[in-house]
Amino acid sequence: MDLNLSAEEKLLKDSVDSYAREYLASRRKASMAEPMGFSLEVWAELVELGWLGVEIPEAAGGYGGSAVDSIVIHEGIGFGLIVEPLLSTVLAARLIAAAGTAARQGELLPPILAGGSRAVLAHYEAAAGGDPEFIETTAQASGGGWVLHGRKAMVLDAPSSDLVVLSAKLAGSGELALFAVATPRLAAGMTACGTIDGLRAADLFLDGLAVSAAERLDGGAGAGAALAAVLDHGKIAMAAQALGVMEAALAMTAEYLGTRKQFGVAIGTFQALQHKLADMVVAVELGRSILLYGVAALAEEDPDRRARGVSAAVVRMIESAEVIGTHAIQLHGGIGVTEEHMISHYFRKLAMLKLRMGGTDFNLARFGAG
Amino acid sequence: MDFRLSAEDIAFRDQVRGFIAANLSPEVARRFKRGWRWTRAETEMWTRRLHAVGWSAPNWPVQYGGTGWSAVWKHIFEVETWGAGAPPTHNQNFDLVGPIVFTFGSDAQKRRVLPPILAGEYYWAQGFSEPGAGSDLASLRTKALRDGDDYIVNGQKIWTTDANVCDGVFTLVRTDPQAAKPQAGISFLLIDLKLPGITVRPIRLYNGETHLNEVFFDNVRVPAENLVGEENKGWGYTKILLSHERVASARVFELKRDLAEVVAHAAEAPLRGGRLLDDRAFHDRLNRLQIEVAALEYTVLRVLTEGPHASGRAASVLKIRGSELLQQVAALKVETLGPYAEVEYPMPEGWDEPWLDMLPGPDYASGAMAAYLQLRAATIYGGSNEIQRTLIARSVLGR
Repeated sequence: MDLNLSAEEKLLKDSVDSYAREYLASRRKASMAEPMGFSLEVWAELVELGWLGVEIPEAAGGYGGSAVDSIVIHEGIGFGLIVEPLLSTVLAARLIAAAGTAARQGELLPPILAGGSRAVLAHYEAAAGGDPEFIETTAQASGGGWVLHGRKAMVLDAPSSDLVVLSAKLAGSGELALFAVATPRLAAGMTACGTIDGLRAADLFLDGLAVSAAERLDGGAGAGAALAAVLDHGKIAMAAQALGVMEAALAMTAEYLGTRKQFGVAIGTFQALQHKLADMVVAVELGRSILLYGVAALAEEDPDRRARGVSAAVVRMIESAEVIGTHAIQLHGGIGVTEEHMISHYFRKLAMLKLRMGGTDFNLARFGAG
Repeated sequence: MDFRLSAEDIAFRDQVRGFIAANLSPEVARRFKRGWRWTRAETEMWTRRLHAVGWSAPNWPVQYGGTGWSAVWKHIFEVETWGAGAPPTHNQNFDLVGPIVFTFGSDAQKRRVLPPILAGEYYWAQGFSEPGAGSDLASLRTKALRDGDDYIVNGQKIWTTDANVCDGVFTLVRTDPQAAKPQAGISFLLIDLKLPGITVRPIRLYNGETHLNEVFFDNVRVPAENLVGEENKGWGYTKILLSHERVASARVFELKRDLAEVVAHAAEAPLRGGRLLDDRAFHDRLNRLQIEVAALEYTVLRVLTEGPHASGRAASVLKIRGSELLQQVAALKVETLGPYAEVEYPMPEGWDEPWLDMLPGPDYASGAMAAYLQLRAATIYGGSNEIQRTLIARSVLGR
């Protein structure tokens, strides 16, 4: 066992870190001001850097990177609060690669990997409570195709996407089926909004949407298993993003304690505040550890064991995020809750990641059941 | 001791309910259901309605326009109005500057300041904190130098709640830079925000709200008659005022209302074929918070029935517990939103827009999340909880 990064992984990390720092310092604001809420120029750069391809298997046209490569990249995305929709597209592309028929892979993946098409995965529903197995969306066979009924909740990056991968249960068999549909086909049922962390999302209301046989993504078997694996991969990627955010928030808070003066001294001289800072350090250390535990779990062949390990990582990461978010704002005082101060952006990102990873209740239950 | 409401208490409660039914507009209640921050127009209207029956200042002495209600009636009034979703009356008027003026102000000041407060016509903002003076408030540097019949004020305040919609600001200013102790050179000065040389700049908060402000004073001439009490004695008055703020900061009525909303929302929130309210883990968290709020409510009732002035220690206990519970209840409310906790808070200028009715999720989603974010500051403002804990420890240890 060696929990250190290899030489190649270190090179990747250096490159990701320096991009993330530069992005945060000078490009993020401009990205967010773009009409779509992110910059196509940055998007093209991320694709060029290989951040998208590295998470896609070689057989599907990607670079076939490891789970360690993935967390290195997503830590950087968290650290730099990068708003471009990389993870959404990664998850959709991984699912297309894992579950798509050869024909649909050949049709959909090349434009995605070239950066010309952005895809999202619309799976979770409002009543699921974070449980990926709970879906009420149905697909009723009709005239060679299907008719979809249901609602997908707060699909991140859907408004700017070109393609949406939808999950549904086939009426009758209850088997999971996937459909890859061009986003404009969903426009009538799309309700978009901004999110607390400055991204865009949409509810997708499928009110009898007719999809053709050609829009079906999967070949009829194994779609559920492929989807579960992709969603677990996404959880670990988000956990890595959370760790990146936490590291940035910790460093910023430590610096503030050394510079902000009250009662004639730096506030870092007060023990009550030192102890909160120490708890933040503990939280980040445990976060890093449980992230590696989660990465190890991703390699499990048995899906239940994988799910159990991933959920353990999520539960502990949420615990850490809670400590970091709470203390980071408290130690900054009033400026911590302003739009302008980065601490408030870190807090919001952590709040959203906790939610998007499925929350504590569901993951704790899944850990216990595994 | 008697834990029951008397027949008179119940009759009073019914009277309050009748008043609410006749005076609270459904439009305002709807905005509250969404959890959006109240506007001045809404709180003005509500204060005027209350004033018409003499109810706008239940906590003030009768001679200044108070109601003379018992502690129990005041409590009933707050629980009923908050519970119905009425906008609060302007807290900085009724809990902060009003009591200072009727306690330490001149007769002329009382005549000038108190009636417009009671009628909801003049709004005051508290201008205490400065960029360099937060927890260490006594280090404030905004200067007021006497020049004939005026003070000339220079400096900056920050986190001034509602200054962007207020008419005046009540400030702590340094009138004696040479005083031996920083606390000794501070005065309490009332400043009209329309005076030349004042700039109010709203601060955009991370939840989208803009009710906190920076206030800049550039050679502002303030009539010396606006000094409250004696020059250089402002710190002593303020210690009393801050303790008022901390009693109010228990915010039990708000907590009770918010918990009731959590229950209502959780009963409507679908969860895997059932409803969130029946989820064991959620239900346990809810019950625990209900017990905590009950304990806080009885602490408030004890303090209120002990007399008009809470001890500093009790005030700190209420501030710590009230702020922590506000955060916890807000977090639980956010849980009832499921994925819709992500929905961004709409800009106030867009509050009348029809598209707001089409945001994803329940209509209270954006407001509940905004409140959760805003309440991270509850353990910071009004004297941070670290400061409160230090005060409690000192009072116990006698140093």
